[in-house]
Amino acid sequence: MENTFQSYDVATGFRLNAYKTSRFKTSRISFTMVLPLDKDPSNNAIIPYILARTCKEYPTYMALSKKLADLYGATLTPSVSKIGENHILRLSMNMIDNKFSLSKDEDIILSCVELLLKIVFEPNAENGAFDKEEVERARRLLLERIESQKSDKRVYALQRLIEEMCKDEAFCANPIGTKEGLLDLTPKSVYDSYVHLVENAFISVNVIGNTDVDKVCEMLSNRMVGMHRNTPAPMCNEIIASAEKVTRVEETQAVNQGKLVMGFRVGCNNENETRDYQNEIRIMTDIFGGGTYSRLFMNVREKMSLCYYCSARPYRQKGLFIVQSGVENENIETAISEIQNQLASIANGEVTDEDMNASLLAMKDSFNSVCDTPEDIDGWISAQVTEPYFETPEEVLSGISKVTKEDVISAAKKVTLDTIFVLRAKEEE
Amino acid sequence: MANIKEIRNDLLSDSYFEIEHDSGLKVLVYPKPGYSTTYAIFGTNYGSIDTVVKKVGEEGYTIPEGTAHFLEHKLFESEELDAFERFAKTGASANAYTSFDRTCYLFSCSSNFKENLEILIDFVQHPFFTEKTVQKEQGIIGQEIRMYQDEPSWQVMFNLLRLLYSKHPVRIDIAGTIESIAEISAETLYDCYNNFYSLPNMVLAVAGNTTVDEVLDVVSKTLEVKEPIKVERADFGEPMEVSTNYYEEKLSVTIPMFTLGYKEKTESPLTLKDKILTSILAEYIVGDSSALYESLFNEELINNSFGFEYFTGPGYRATMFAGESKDPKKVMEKINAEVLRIRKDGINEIEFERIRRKHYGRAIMGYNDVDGLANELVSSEFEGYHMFDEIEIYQTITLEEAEERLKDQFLPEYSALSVVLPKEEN
Repeated sequence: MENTFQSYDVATGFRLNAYKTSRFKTSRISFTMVLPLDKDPSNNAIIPYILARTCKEYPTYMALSKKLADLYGATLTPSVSKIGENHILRLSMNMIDNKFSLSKDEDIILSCVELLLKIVFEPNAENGAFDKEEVERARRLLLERIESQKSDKRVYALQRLIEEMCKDEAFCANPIGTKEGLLDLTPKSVYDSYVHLVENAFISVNVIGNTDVDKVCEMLSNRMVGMHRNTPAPMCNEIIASAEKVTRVEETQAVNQGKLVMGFRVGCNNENETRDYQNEIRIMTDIFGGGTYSRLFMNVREKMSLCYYCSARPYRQKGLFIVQSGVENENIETAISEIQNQLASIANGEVTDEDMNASLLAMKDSFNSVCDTPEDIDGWISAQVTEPYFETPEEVLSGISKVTKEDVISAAKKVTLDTIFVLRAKEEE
Repeated sequence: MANIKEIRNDLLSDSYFEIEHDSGLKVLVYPKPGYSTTYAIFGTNYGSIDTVVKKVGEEGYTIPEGTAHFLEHKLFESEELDAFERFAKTGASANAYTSFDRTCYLFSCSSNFKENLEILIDFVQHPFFTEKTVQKEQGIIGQEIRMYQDEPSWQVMFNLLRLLYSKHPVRIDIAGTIESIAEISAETLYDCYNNFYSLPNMVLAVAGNTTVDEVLDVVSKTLEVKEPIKVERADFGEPMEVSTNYYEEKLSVTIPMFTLGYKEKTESPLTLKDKILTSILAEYIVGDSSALYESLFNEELINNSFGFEYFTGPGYRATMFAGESKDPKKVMEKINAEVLRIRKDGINEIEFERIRRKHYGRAIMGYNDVDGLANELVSSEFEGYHMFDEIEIYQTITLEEAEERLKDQFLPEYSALSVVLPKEEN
């Protein structure tokens, strides 16, 4: 069926999601593996980066790059992230549609599926260990990435807040690993992790575009024949309902602009962690710090000129949201209290029909755009990889539309401030 | 009335429409049947490099650095509801950006398209600036400038531009400086607005779930036609030589970064084919599948943040290579040596074909997203080419043409290296 979300079970804990459509010039395939997030996830984090560089058939990066160029510049991107206490390891590919092939009888999309399966299941390894030099190269990439995250002060400040706020939750781990963990791993230890991953991870393959989905399904099933698969561990989401006290952590660095990050708990617990409640939180967070109609944009930026950016982002599976801003040292206290005032005003019932309307319309507009790029469709499916069931954009929208002003006010009342992280600019001497 | 021309590409099975509106405004519409989203840009051919207001045939005068960007921020305001408040009632997501040579106002939506287009055209055509609102914006933009001062990739590139260009205003920051924006008044903004936001200097580009009729219907209802003002870009007398060939800055980073640039002459017009040839050459020299990339990577001189770009615009042209490296000078030396080798040995046919194929595929990939398409329409109009021409060029371009193009490119005597090093923290 064209233009609908389809799903197939390929093997134990292995699902194929397909969205067949002929409206794009490209197709997209992503291969996602999910495991519980370790306190130090380095051994798993490095795997996509090793796999994306070489495989048995293309044993150098140059050979694999040439193959991708021959496939009309198909892209291959490794990435790691976290959703709740789950580690998400991915490889994704974009490629042009078969109709743009310059030779006859060439199936670019299926060739890419075949290549991706080789990359995942026939790695550049022997005698129970990955190629030593390739492990070194991937190790250096990730070590340098960790360093470069520290240079980006927005990323750094956000990471520091999560480390402090969630220090007793696995969620505090950096999904690309730690310096120590990366230095400790060996070609053998990573290969052991790889074998564990392939046997135990929940696997989700997404295919978006104009291709023969049955054929892709068959290719995946054939690949799994004779492979040992265990039932994947259940997805983990550790939620702390509210903060008992506010923790404040400060650092000073030689930067021009200070960074302010504030983490809030939304009062979710196992009893009320329903889709309805999540929708209420979603709208409340959006009115508070979503678009240009939000309280933070209109007041902290526009009215008070305190900053260039100030917004709130929800982490649905963790029952929290985080406010980020860039502020001058002398304005930090004013910004902190104004951000809290704005939240308090929502909790005190100062929510108008215009607020509700602006938020609902903006969400409707953005959800209705999801199916306009293969990347967004893939992103939509992937964002739900840890969920017990899948919802289409229409289904989420219909849930959101039921949220009332009273729901938003009562949701805001349950919010507690947990941690403030301030990166202060070092004063000139 | 308007003159409508369809531009069609059979391989892509797509068409877009070029409309010469009577007002002098160029309207470009790229319908994407089956899509939900529509993306519209109302842009003017006026950016940060336009630091001189010069009417055709008249003497020019200088305005503060960062005025174009400041004007972009302020245009969202109005005497009544500001543009963001109006879009909040339709659900569209609106934004704007200022680059070296253009200022663009845009929205993306999946419903109420006509109403949104009306708001876009209306707010861009109705400036409202007061000293009070100008003052308020100095605080917000001041923070934007401070934020960029902490972004090493931004700093390393602008430091390079200051090395390559001693006179051309491409060397100044797009947002200006805290000092320069303090000189901007409501009067400055009105003056720039009146000179640079004249319809013949502008373009309206729409891509997505719409039709020519729908767009023209809104245009004819909303567009205010005024007496056109003709401005021209000043000539800054930029010499070919670079001012200095090396600069380093210390910032709060943990890993050194660099941008290496090769400046080029700008006398002859730059064709789309020239641009494509240069991108292919850069890829041939140090792209993912090149021997040089492999050696730089394996010697730990670059990582996967490495990339290159052909940076071009009115009065400036340079190829840039950028990334993180513990030894940027070594990277530069190796690139220079490789260019020398290729000049001597010529270009390998198999590799050239491979890269041509890759770039052809990447070009096709650009025809999916409505935001990319609308932005490309704006570029094609301001830079004077047709969007689909590239598809044909990729299919016909030859190795000989690439070798010819290489002759006056990547010349070390016109290059410079900018580096950002970690600052010692105590």
